[in-house]
Amino acid sequence: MTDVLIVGAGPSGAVTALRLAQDGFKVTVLEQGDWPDYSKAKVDDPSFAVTADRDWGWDPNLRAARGDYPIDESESDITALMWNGVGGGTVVYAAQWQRNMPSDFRVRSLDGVADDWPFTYEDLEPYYVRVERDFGISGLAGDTAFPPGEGPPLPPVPLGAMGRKVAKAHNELGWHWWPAPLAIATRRYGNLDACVQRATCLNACADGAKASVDRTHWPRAIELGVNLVTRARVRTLTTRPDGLVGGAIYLDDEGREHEVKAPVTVLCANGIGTPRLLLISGLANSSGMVGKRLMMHPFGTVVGLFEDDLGSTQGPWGQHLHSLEFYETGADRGFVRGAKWGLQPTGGPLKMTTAYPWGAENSIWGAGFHESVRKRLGHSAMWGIIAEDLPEEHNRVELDPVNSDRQGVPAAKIVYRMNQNSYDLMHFHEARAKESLEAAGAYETVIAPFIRATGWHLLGTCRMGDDPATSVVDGFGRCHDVPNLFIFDGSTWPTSSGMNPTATIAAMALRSAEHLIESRNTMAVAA
Amino acid sequence: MRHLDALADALIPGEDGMPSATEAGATGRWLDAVLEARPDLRAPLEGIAAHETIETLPERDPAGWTALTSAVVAAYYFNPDVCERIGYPGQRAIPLGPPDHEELLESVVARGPVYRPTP
Repeated sequence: MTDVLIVGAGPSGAVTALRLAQDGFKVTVLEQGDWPDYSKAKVDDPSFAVTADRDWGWDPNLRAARGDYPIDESESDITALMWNGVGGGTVVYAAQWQRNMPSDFRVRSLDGVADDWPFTYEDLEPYYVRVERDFGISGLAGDTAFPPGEGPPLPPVPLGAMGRKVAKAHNELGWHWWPAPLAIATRRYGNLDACVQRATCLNACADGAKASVDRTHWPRAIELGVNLVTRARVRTLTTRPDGLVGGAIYLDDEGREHEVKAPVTVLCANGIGTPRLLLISGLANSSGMVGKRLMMHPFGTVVGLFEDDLGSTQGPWGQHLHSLEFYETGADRGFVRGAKWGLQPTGGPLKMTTAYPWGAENSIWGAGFHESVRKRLGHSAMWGIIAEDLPEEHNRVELDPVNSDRQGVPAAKIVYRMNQNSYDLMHFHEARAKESLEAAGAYETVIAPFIRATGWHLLGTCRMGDDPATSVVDGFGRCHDVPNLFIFDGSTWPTSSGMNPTATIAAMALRSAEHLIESRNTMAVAA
Repeated sequence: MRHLDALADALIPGEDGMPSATEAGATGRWLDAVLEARPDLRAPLEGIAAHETIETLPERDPAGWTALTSAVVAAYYFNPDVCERIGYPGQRAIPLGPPDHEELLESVVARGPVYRPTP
């Protein structure tokens, strides 16, 4: 017997399953992929430089692993990236643990665009504090870009040579910076070991220092009795005659069908997987908003070259520090909203030769090759820029009318165009980031070319709101149309913020899970 | 893959006290090591026509160009002598040092909040 069925074993599914299990709920989780196999991550071997993108790549179309489904992105400016397996996006994220700022929840009130969220920063703040303990977050309380409050449990990573240069420059410029908030352990904590700075975070942390939920949450949840079923691809959610959701039918590895019946179902399948399942199942879409308002965060990179050895072949990647100086809307900039910057290392010699971030015009081949590598290797630092994109209904997820996954379930298609606000915002931020690195002593800077493969953050496609005519779920993730169906992943975001989203996804999942627990005696459930 | 020799040396010439790609074994022993880890790169490398140059290849054979610039360059840096010459010891385990931000934060804190509060 299952009390709650969860679809998806990424961060929102993990936080939800663990919290429900702690209160005695019997939880079944269906995950289409596998557990990560860290034996494939030989991070101390030179071969990792050529196997990382194959075994730990972000693009499901290129990876085409057992748990993946195709995504038609032919009409999208940005390609969608994800990890379909236990741990979800946390397996391959950079672990940049960014809370949203108060203004992110009040975009309409403060900037006159898009929509306010149904709750505030202050409503979410206690849940940020708690998930930061559960994930073993490192960082430093008192960041002047956020209201005062409790900080994460672990001390921050060192700024290092590059971070100190940039910090001093920002102090001279009068620009904000703060030691990095990271889901990277700086000392042993729970199941996590201390970071050893191999800079492989974006592919896999085989050293066990990155807080991915396959390490931080699922072992505890399983100990408490959660039934996590891998290689279980949901074919459809089931609907009962009374209109409630009855659970799901899934296909196992051999294609056999199984049905899980549950009084309550929670979707945690990310901003593409969740609307895909709802559209396949014909559920929760009286508003017509399922799949609409896809946001993916246009991404920019600016690199600086320095005379000094910064040791930037290694480090937390991750980030050493962040800057939110230009995060808030500026009155005279010609666009609204902003972006977060994270200062990152640049990696080993192979990464010194690639078109990204160095640019085709910086072609390194032929005469001067070795001089260019020497200039870049260990002597470069880069800002990664996460830009807020505004919600637009024409940016969307829909079902692929032609293609399906390997088990016959309709595939997804995304349609996404960057608007002028996004372009203007990105150009402004790249110019400021260039100034930052120059002030820090860079004798040369490179603004990386725009590339499509940056859609790590999949948000907004089942938006929350108080009005059932214009939103899919309420402020606690409950579907307006189907009161025993919930969405706890990033699909529900009314706006995208300009932050890496996992911190807020996790905090919202905890808040929503506890609301589900509190309302269990009064809610409609499938008997 | 000797048919790659000229292309490889055009990418990575011998200069500045560094060996060329072929001198470093980047089309021989070390390329074999790369292809052992990434056998999928063999076919696009074998498919590169002998008459191609690094000027013509990117447009005429994009898959071949991608495989070449991935595999041969990786093979070059598989050679430990090459890494030693550029002072690159590999991605080692380096324990984190202590926090080093203390005195630098004073001016950030003195400036005060930089966020807009919830209205």
